[in-house]
Amino acid sequence: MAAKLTPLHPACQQLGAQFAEVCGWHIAEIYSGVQTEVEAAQRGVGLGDDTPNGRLTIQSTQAEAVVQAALPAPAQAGAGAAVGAGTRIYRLRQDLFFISTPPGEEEAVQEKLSAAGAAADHFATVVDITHGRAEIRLVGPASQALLSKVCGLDFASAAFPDGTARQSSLARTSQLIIRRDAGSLPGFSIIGKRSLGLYVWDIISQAGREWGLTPIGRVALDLLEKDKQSA
Amino acid sequence: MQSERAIAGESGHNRGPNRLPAQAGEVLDRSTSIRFSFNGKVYSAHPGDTIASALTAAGVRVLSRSFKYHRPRGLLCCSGHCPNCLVQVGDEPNVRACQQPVEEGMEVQAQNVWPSLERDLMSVNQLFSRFMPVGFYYKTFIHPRSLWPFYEGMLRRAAGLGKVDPETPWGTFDKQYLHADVVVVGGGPAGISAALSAASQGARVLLCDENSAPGGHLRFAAAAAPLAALLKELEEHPGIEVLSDTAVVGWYQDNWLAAVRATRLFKIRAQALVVATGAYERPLLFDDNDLPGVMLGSAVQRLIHLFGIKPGERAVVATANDDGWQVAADLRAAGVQVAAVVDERPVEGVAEGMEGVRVLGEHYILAARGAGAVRAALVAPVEGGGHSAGTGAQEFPCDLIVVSAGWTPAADLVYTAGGRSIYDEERAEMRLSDLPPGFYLAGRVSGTHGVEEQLEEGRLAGGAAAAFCGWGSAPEAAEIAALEERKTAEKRRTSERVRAAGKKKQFLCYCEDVTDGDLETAVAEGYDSMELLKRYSTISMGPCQGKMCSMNALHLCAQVRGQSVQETGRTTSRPPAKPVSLGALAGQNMEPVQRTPIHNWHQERGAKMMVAGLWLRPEHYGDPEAEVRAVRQGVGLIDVSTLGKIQLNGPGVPDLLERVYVNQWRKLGVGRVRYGVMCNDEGVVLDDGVCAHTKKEEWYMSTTSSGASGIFEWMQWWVQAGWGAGVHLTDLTDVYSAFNLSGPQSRALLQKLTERDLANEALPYMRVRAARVAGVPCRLLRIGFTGELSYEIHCPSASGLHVWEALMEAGGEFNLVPFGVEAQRILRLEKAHIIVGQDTDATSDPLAADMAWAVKLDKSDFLGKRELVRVANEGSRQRLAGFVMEGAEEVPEEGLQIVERDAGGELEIIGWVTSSRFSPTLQQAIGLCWLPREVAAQAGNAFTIYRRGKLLRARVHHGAFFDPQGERLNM
Repeated sequence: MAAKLTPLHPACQQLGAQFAEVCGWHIAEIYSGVQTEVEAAQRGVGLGDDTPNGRLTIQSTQAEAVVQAALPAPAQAGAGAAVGAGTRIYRLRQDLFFISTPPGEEEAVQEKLSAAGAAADHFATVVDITHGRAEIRLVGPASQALLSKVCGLDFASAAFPDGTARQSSLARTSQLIIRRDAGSLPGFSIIGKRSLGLYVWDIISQAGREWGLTPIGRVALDLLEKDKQSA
Repeated sequence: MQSERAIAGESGHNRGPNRLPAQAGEVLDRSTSIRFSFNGKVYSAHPGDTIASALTAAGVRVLSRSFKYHRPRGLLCCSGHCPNCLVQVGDEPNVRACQQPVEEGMEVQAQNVWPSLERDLMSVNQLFSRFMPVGFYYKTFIHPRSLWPFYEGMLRRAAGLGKVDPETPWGTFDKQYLHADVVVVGGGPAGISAALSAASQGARVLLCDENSAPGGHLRFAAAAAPLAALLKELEEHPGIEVLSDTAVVGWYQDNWLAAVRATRLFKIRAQALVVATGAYERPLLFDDNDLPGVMLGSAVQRLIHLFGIKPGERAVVATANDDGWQVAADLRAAGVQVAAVVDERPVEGVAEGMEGVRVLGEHYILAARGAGAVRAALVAPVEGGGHSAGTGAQEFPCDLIVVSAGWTPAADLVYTAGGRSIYDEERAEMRLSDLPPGFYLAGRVSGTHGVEEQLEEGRLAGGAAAAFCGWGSAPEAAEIAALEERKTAEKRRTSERVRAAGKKKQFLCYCEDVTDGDLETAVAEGYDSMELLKRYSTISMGPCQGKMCSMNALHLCAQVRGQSVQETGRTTSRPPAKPVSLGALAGQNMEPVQRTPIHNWHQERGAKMMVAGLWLRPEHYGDPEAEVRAVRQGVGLIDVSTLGKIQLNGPGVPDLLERVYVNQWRKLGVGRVRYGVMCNDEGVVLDDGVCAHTKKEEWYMSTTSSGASGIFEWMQWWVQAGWGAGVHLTDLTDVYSAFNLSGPQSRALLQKLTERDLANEALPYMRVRAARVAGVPCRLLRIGFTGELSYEIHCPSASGLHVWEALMEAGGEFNLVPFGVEAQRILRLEKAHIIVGQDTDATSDPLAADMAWAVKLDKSDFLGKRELVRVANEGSRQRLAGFVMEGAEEVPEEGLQIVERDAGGELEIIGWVTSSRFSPTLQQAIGLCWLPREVAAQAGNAFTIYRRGKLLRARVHHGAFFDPQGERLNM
């Protein structure tokens, strides 16, 4: 089966990305050079495509209990709880959780959640929405200022700390915005309808020009993330 | 650009003739020079200069011509409030020269002049001023009516200032949202003090200042001792963000602010607000008070201290407060000979530093003398309570008249926030009250003129604002009372005198050339309230928006009417408080566009794209009729990824479906698909689509493309409103791409890519199956909109392009063609399938829309049932029906009216066409239309369509136009 394409693929291609296959996805790995990209993100703001991440929703009035039963015990299954390596749980509503997994792990997590729901005889619906979303990553000290040009939320660290998830209007579209810092750098994931992904990417690219917004590939993103893990 | 030697006003030291030696506090970088042109002549400036300061340094005094009389106008306020320095910079009109920094190569032109600024022939208007009194255009240009087109053209040419070039490239504009606990508007001493105070209590503070740097009037005060320390503290405080060059132009509910900096609009959410916007210095009325060379005291101080400019050679200072004396001292220090200081108040002794200056106490200025610029000032003693007949007048030769006689609070934001003004007779100033919650004042806007008092008031206001947000404690009542005492003890700063007893024009409104006489005339004509006066005379409606004229107009109106100022009242303030470009309001272009995963493929194959809601869809690939033929005869493929897709889970789903659809669902087995129609609770058709029962307790609903978001929200609403027991909804519209493979060859083609048995018995019409297509797990729905054997393939979107390309490749041997929305519209019309929203409108019920077969009134309840029962009993007045044209190729446009002649022979509208196309299959123009039910009832009934003056004949058709038995679907 041919590799899966993100909705941002044409934009990444136009920016000269070198692509690699990651968990069945065709993903932009490097643009101008890893070091250049890392430095650009550290200096201003980097823009990346994180669409291959897995994304699930679980709906249930007992969703919290199901999540706690299925995934290695987060102290509290609230917004931004990290579970294991790279899986994160965000509570969007009393009865609705959003779960982000590393690429390719969504199926396994879905099975665990479904099984936990069935075992407890809870009415719980777990849906894989990976294919329906574009996920744009912003990393860098200017990321908060950039987002304030396209979204009315307060992105200051005191109001929007690491791990926070908010559903809001961004550039006149509905998006889930998650604060995901990379090391000491503030960072955000912007998750919205796949069909709107390219539009949002373009808007953010324009808005970020004043801070020298630079596309960053998977390798640079991983490096920045590792910086976080070691930090 | 001319050569360096030809640069106007440039001396050997690169200084204009009026440039003073370098001094502390100035904003210039004298180490380098830049050049710009004004009316084609090249001038030199230093970085930091504004256009106006550079021109003044070079000795240019006339910057513009007035709007109506084309009188020469020079720098008046130097603070971006008056209209006197409006110029055209490149392709941008109405730039305030006193605010716009000079840039290298900038091309500046005077506005509203013909043929030139120096010799403006339109100034002949002054000679006819007696024929052009206030409101003359309302009275003049209405007779005779036949000349209105001429008048209109003339007025349009005369209206407005500057030129807009429609070929100007689009600029870059954007917006930004900002948040703070406390927003301080105004960066003067009170504003800085408020910011520091609020931040010291822990609040997050944003300070917006419309000037290029904070400091306010301390920046151009001779003794600016506290400023350096304040600025240092401000800069070092981590809790304060300073936005310079940023004008807050609007206040909205709950301290939601609009601010503008150059091309950016800020939308600021403040919990609390401190307005420290200062005050506008008020001009005085006297004969020829608009001559170039008449300037406000604060303008002169700006020129001297910020830009190192000597504003004149010999000055007369007309004042009514201590500020004017400080200006006189500044002038002397700058080397200007002060011919006289004319004070309305009694003056005892000679002030320090004023030795040798002629001081005239209880005098005021009667007139400016000069042609094109000030040559002398005529002053006279104050008599009879502020008025003088001009007896004892003295003339002082001078080239500069400085007016410093009072202040008007810059209270635009206060008024828009609902604040009230109370006229303080003692101080001849407005006092502000009735502020909304979380709204505080500090400084001159609050009538506080002393620097120490401004700092204290800022401290208290900042503290109160922070406390309002939950940071620290509010100031003690005793502290507030102590400040009030000090404010009361301050000397009065503002003159209550309105105008001089002159004989020439005294300009009240510089923007619109409205004089004191105009205002008197207007009041005499009955426009005697401020709101009426404003609208009739246009006073305060020009570029300054009343900043220069409103208080003088208010005083004069009160005087003419014999009322108090308080009784006269003021006009309503509305945002924006300062001019804002439309580009800044528009911001970055944000028009969302939705693209399917196949978007680029369509474009690369030359598809003509069309907008459908937010989606971009292929309308056709060159020849829609050929696409129709391909589907009827072979096979076609259309991208229908835009369809709404909703997954419903849970035991409660059948109950929900029974309620939201008009037809029955409870008995639909797993693997089956049914078409459904949704109505709102008034029985109006909302949407249609199919719903598949995919698994036990799992259903998969499709909606129209345009209805996708709305229907999901509609269902969510009902689920949350009480029908949600045992139901979970998930919007999968973007999760799945969908393609419809349609035509007699579709089965053979699809079978090449899947192991699933596609035989009619294994996958009959209106069934759903899971299947791998080209290796990708998909849902196959045996449905279609074309009337042909069709398969709708729903696959995960990231693999959408792969599946599509696999289909196209496998379709080579079947001459597969992609088809677009236009072909689909023709194909569905041949089958008489309706499009909700095109063939139905906000009044269409399914019974009238020829879908009675779908409505099951015997169900216990569903949305719209009550209304549909009534319609079923009473019948519909109109009915949707098919039609064929008698002229086979004459296609009536959609929306045309269907008419019949009434008893009087007049054409009466009885219906309208909703869909129409030429059918390539039938070689016949066909369509759908709404008709009176009696006309629609019988197939073959004739009716008439009105088309551009012609009457076209058509006949009613019932059922599908093509394959009425649906045999091709069940192949």
